[in-house]
Amino acid sequence: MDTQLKRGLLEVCVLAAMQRGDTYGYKLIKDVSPYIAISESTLYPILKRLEAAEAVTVYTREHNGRLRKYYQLTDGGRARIAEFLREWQDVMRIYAFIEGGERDAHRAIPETTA
Amino acid sequence: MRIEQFLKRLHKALAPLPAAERARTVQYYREMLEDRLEEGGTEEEAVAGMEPIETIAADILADAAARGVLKPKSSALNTTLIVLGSPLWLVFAAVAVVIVLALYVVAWSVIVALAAAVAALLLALPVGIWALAANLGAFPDTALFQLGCGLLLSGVGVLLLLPVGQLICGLARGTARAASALWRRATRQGGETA
Repeated sequence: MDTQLKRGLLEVCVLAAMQRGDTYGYKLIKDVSPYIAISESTLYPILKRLEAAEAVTVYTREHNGRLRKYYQLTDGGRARIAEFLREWQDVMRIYAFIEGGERDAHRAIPETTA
Repeated sequence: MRIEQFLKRLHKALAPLPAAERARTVQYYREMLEDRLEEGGTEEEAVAGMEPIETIAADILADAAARGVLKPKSSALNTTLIVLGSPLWLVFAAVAVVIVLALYVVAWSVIVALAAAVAALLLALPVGIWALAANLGAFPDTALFQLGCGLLLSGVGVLLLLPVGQLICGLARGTARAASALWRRATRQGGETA
């Protein structure tokens, strides 16, 4: 996937993974991985950025005798998800435009699967 | 690799980070590894599932650089200090070199003196023989005594011949070795700065 596109998607994916409840680092990786490739070292700066942007809050809780950081979605984070979904409508329209344009231009050539 | 070893290496690789940031990052990975461990498997397996430390460190440091939180590099400071101190540093180095050269000359002088002494001792024998020949007729006792002295002194000279020879060889070899080492160091540094 295009790096720029991926970077934009990763942050909102991480936010979305928190919609179902507070979560922690390793669980985030497990929840997001099926949809987009993410490693521990990719997640770390994303979490820092989200915290700095106040899209998430962080708290520490004890778990099995050790401390674990938990991340919680804020209203700001929810707003960012909503904004992404809105913007995606525009993306879908652009997608249709690109796909339609390609179809029209290459009517004589058999369609190749991307 | 066990978890603690992994984290220790990671900590080392993150040296350019400020202390607080470095500790937070290592803690993040500690949590990740402990969560993995909880799911089952050994510490080695948990560590194996991580990216290589070089990759992790590179990503973290690149992100930190982009945010402008890296510790300022000290190499620029070091270079400045060396340049500033160089007149004094050069003077001290020159003095050291002169002292070394002086000691070297002294070492050779001592050896030359010893060699001269050995040569003189060795010459005692021919002198003794000549004295014998010259005085045997008139003063046989004296002549024999002179021959005896000659033999004794030249014997001492022969004994000293080997040690002095070794000293000369040793100093010559040491000089050759030091010279070639200095030459190699000089050409290598010249190659590096070039």
